[in-house]
Amino acid sequence: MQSLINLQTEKTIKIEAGDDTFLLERISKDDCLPERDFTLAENAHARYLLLMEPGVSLEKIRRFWHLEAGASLQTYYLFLEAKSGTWQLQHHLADRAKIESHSLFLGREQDSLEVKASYDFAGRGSFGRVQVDAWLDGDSRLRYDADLNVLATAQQSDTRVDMRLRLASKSARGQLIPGLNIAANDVRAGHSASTFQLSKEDLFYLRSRGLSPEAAQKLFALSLSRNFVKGLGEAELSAEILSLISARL
Amino acid sequence: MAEDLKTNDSLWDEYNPSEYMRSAKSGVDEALVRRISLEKEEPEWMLSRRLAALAIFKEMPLPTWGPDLSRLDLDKITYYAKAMEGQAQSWEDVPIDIKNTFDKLGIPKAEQEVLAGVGAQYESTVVYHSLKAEFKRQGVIFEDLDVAVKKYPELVQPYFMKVMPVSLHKFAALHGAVWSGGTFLYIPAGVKIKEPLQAYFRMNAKGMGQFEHTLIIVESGAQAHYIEGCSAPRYGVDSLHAGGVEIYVKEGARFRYSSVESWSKDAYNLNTKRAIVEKKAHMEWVGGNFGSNTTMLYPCSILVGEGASADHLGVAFANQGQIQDTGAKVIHVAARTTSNIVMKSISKNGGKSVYRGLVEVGPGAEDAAVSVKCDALLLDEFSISDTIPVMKINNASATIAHEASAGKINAEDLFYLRSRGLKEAEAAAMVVNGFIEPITKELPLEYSVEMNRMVELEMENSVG
Amino acid sequence: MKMLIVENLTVAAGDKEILHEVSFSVAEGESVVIMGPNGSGKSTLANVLMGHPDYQILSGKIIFRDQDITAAKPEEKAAAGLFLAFQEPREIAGLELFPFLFDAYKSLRSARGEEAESVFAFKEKLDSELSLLAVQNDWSSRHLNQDFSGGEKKKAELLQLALAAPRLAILDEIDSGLDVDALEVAGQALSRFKTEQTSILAVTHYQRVLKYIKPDQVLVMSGGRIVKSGGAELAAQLEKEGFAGLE
Repeated sequence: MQSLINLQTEKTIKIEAGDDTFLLERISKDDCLPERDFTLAENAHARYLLLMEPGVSLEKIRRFWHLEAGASLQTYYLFLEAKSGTWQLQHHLADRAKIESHSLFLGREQDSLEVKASYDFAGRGSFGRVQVDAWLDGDSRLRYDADLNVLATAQQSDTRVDMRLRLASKSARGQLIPGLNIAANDVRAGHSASTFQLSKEDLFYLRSRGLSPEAAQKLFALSLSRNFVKGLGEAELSAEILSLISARL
Repeated sequence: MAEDLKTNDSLWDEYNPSEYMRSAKSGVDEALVRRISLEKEEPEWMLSRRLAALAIFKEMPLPTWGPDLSRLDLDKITYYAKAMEGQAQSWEDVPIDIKNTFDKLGIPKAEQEVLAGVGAQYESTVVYHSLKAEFKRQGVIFEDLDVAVKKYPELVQPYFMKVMPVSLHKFAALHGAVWSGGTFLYIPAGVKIKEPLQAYFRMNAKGMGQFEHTLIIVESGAQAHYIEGCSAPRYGVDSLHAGGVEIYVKEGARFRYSSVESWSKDAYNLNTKRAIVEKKAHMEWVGGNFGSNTTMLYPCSILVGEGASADHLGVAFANQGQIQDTGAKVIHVAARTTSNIVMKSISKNGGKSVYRGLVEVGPGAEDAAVSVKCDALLLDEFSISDTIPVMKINNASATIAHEASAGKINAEDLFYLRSRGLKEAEAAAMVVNGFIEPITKELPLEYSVEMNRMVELEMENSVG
Repeated sequence: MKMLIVENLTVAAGDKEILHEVSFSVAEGESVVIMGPNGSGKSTLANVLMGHPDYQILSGKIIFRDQDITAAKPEEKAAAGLFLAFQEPREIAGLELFPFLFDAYKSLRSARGEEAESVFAFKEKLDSELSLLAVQNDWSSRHLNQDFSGGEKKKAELLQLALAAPRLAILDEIDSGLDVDALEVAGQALSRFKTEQTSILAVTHYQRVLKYIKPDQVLVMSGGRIVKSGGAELAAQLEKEGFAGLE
C-alpha cells in the first residue's frame, strides 16, 4: 500500500515495515523544522523528497536518518536557488540497510549554500549510492562535504559517493570535499568528484546543430534535472519539479 | 644497495654513539639559534631570517588538524650537532665510524658511472659531497647548503624560504630557525642532466632532530632528477624530522624529485616540500613513505605559469602503530595548467593511512585539467584508510576528475598465486607490489627494488 | 545562384596562418570532394566554414546562397542550411540524445520560419531514420554519443544530417573508422540526401566514400592551399599515384 505523507511539524518519524511510504517535505521561507529525525524500522522501505522553494534562507537545519537492519531508503534532496543556508544531513545504516541518495543543487545570483552530509555505514552488508549534482550560475557558491564512513563493523558493504559540479559562469564557486573513511577491509568503497561542463568543442558541436549557446546550456540543465527525477516514481511531483526548474532557467 | 638489505632488523637498529653528541643541547631558544649561525659563520641576512622565524615559531600553535602531535615534546629534541670539522671532498676523507655505518647499510661507494654525485648527511652537517668535473664545467652547482649560503649568496638569498615561507606552519617556522645542512642544487639554463642526482642522510643519535633544507633551482629549459632516500634506526625517544624542500622550476624546465623514506618506528616525519612551476615547465614528485610513527607530508606544486604541469605519484604503507598522513596539493593559478595525482596506500595491522589532498583551481586557471586517482588497500580488518580530498573550483572551464577507492586484496588473485606454489605472505606481497607498480616503475631500478623489498619486509610479521 | 562561394579565404590559428587564399565554389546539386595528405588543412577548412571558434578569418569571404556568412555564428549557419558531420563527434555525457535531437530540430525549424511538428510526429520521423540507418540498439536512453562505438557515432551524425535537412552537407572524413557494412549504410544515407537541390562537400583521406559520392569536382589541398583541381578522373589519378609530387 502506497501512502504519501506531507510532513508538517513532526519531529520524529518512524516508518514500519510493510508500507511503501513516500515522505514529502516542502521547505518554504518561513516554514522549516530545524531538526527532524527519521527512523526506518527493520525491513521498512521509504522514499523521501526535500523540495525547496527558491529564495529560501535557513541556517543550521539538520535531518537525521536511522536505518535499522534490512531497511531501505531513497532520498531526493532538491536545493533550488537556496539564498543561503547551512544544512546537515546525517545517515546511519545497520546490517543490510540500503540507501540511494540523489541531490541536485541549482544556484544563481548570490545564492550560497553549505551542506555537510555524512553517511555512516555501521552494519554488515550495508549498501549506499550517493549522487550529488550541482549547477552554479551567477555568483553562487556551494560547499559540499560528503563523508562516507565505513565503520569496522560494516564488512561486506558496498558504498559510493559521486559528486559532479558545473560552474556555468565565471564567478560561480564550488568546493567539494568527498571524504572516504574506511575501517573495514572486506568492502567495496569509492568516491568520485568531477566537473562537467560544455567545452569549447562541445559548444561548437551543439551550435553547429542549430542551438544557441543559451539553448544548449538550458538543454544540459534540463537533462540533469530529468536525471534527478528519474527514480522518483511520482509522476505529478516529477512534473512539478521539472516545470519549477525550467521556469528558473 | 638493495642486495645488502637484510631481513633481521639489527642492521638498521645499530646505535653509533658518536662524540659530537656532547656539543648538542636540547630545546630551542635564541641562544641556540645564534650559536648555530655563528658556528656556520653565516652572513647577517641569514641570522636575521633565523631569528624572525624563531619569533613566529614561538607564537604559532601546533596544527589542530591531522594526526595527534601532542606527544611530541619539542624541548626534548637535540637540535644541533656537528659531526666533523670540514667537508670531505672524496670518499677517502670521510671519517671511519661514519664510513662503517654507511658500509653496513650498503650505501654505494662507487658512484662514477651511474650517479653524478653523492651528498651524505650525517646528523646535521653534510660530510661528504663530490661533484663530477663535467658538472663543474657546465655550471651545475651541487653543494652543501651551509656552504652555498656563503659561496653563492646571490643565488641563495632571493630564493631561500620563499616558496616555503616561515609563516606556513609551526614546523616551517621551526625549520627556518634551526635548519642545518641540506643540498643546494642549481641547474643553469638549458642544461639537461640524464643521471639522477642523489643525496643521502640519516638520523642516528638518540632524539636527534633533523632540519635539513634542500633548495633546488632549475633554470629555463633545464632538466634533472634528484633522489632523496633516508633511513633511521629505532629509539625510545621521539625523533623529529622537519625538513624543507623548495624547488623552482623555471620556464620550459623539467624536474623530478623522488624520495623513498623509511624512518624509524618512533620518528615524527613532518616535512614540507613545495615547488613553484613556471610557464610550460613540468614538475614531478615521486615518493614512497614507510615506517615512522607519524608522517605528515603533502608535496605541493604551485602552477603559476601558463601551461605548467605537475605529476604527483606516491605510495604510503602504514603498519602497526603508524600513521601515514600524506597527500598532494596542487594550486592552479595560470591558464592551461594540468596536474595528475596517483596515490596508492596500504594499511596493515591497525595502521592508518590518510590521503589529504588539495586541488585548488583559481579564477585565472582557464582550461585547467586535473586528474586524481587514489586507491587504498586494507590488508586486514583492523586497518584504516581515509581519503579526504578538498576540491576548490573557482573556474568554470576547468576539467577536474577525482576518483578514489578502498578495499582488500582480491581473493581470486591470492588464490591464483597460491595455487602456483607461493606461500600466502609471499603471494600477498606480490599482489601489493603489483598494486604499487604504477609508481615504482617511475623510480630508478635500485629504488624500485628497495621499495618492493620494503613492502615485503612490512608484509612479513617480523617487522613492526 | 551558387550554393557556396569561398573567396580568397586566409585563416589563422593563434599566430600561425594555416589556410592561404583558398578559393573555390560549389554549385547547387554538385558533389565536391577535397583530398590531401595529413596536415594539408582540409579538416580545418571544413571546420572554418562552419565557424569553429579556434580559427580567425584574416581575409576573404564565405558566401552561402548569396548570403555573406563569413562572420555568422555556428547556429546561424546551421539555420541557413549548412551541416557539418564531425570527424570526431563530441561525446557529451549528461546530455540526453533524444531531447537534444528534438530541441535542435525545433530550433532549426523555428529559425527557418517553418512550422515545427509535435513531439509525436518527430518521434515517428526519428524512428524511421533510425531504421533506415540500420540502428540495432535502443538509443532512447543514451546520452549524446556516450558509449557509442565508432560506427554508431557516424550513424548518429547521419541521423542528425537527415533531421536537419540542410542544403549543403560538409562531411569531415565520414568514411574513417567504418567497416564495410557501416560504409554501405552511410553511402545509402548520403544517396538519400543528395538531390538536385542539395550539395555535398566531402573531405576525405581514404577515398572510400567515393564509391557512394560521384564527385563533380575534386580539389587537392596541401600546406593550407588548394594546389590542384579537376574532375572525377583526378581522384582516380591520386588513387594510383598518391600525393607525392604536389607542392
